[in-house]
Amino acid sequence: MDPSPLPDPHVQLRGVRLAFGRRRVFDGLDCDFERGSICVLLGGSGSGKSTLLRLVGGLLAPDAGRIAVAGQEVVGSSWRELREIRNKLGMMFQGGALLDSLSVYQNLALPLRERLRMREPEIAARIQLQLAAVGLEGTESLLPRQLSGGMIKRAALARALISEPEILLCDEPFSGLDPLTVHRIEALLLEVNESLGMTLVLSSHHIPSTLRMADRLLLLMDGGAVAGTPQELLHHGDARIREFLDEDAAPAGAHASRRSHS
Amino acid sequence: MARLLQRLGLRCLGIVEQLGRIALFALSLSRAVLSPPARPGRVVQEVFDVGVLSLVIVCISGAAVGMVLGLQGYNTLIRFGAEESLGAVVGLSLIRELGPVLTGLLVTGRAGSAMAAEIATMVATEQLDGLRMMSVDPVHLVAMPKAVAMVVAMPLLSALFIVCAIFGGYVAGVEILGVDSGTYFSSLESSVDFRDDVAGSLLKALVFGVVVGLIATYRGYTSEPTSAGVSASTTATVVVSSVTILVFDYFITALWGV
Repeated sequence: MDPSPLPDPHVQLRGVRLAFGRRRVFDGLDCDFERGSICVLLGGSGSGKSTLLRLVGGLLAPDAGRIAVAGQEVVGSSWRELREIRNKLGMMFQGGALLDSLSVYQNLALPLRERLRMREPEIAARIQLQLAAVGLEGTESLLPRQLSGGMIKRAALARALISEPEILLCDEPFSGLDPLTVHRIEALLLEVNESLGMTLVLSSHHIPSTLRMADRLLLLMDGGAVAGTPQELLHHGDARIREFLDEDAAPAGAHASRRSHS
Repeated sequence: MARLLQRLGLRCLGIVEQLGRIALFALSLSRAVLSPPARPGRVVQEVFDVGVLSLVIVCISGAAVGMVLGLQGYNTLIRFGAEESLGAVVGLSLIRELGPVLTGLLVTGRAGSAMAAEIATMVATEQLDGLRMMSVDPVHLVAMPKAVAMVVAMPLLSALFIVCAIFGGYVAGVEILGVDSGTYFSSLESSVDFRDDVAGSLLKALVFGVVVGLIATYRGYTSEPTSAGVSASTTATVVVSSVTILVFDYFITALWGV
């Protein structure tokens, strides 16, 4: 458990408890996600990575505890307050969650029309840019069922990013993608993080990209979490933590060191 | 005995809770209808899905029911030498009862179940959560246009069912059994009152549209996010809507004399 507070938390969880029936997922979880940082959630299947993202987005209510996004309390908020909080959030779901009755263009246009009330020419221009960024040019008129799994992921990421939220929550952004696309998505996420100062909270099983990108890791285990930089967790005293990260990993903290040089 | 009472009490509480949830959902649907944007494009698309795609089934069923009524009515009326009243019997039974009720049941099976299944699949694939995260109210974008379309389409489909059935009765009575064509239509015209019969029939269909629209969207919206949840919500929509239509039909007839 690592409750050590960060200097400028963008998202803060305190004493979060959650159980599904008899299965306790979080038992007094405390953690912070620093403003402008990249934090990767790690953990075995069923450890609560997706659940944690859903809690931050207000899609699930904890049994107890506090969750604050940019200083605004999520738990117990009204629909109007939640709307205000969600205007700061973008979320990419594991399965994409694209509306299957709408084309890729219409899916991407949805947050721009509904949330930002943009005009059609601006919407069209921004969609072109965003689709190019994820390598999906020419797919505007396709329906989600006409896309491959990897393309759905990229379209979902484009939709989550298109309204330029303060905080991006990504559930398994790299699963099911080929290595080239993984690098492309990594580069895109690093770019939005650096250019827009977007806080990124990702859940991932992809250890190499995790170690390349993350400023901070949060390993969910035993109803709580162990937090630290990639280097700290790679040399952690608990053997289970070291074993979890011991894969054919890329040099740890490459992104962090690149940042410190820039 | 105490345990039996306890179970009965829990069951009753469960039903009351469920009714409360449906009422709250109906309230949020009503609020969505009244709050902008009106989403006319989505409503028209849904009217197409509910109405136009149900045309064939409604027309064929209507014609078949009308022909059966023509045959059965003729065979009964001829015993009393009253076969000239065939138009009135066919018309009144269709307009006052069979038209709205059978249309309600048919549309429930074809469009209501599809509506519930579509929304339930959206729940299972996190599409509604995706909308919530974009600050879009899923009731406003997804459920409201479907419920409105059901309310709009049901009276129109019921009217079409009745027209096809009267034509079916005509084919059986006049063309096959030899009742005079003028007698068939004059008895129909003289016995049907627009305000009491036709307007009442449309009102019934409208109420059934509200019932099916509400139950289908509610069942889909509150389904479990699994494939079993999709199937359960579809089945529940058909069963609950069908029973509710029949029960409401009795109360509307008893209270309003329609």
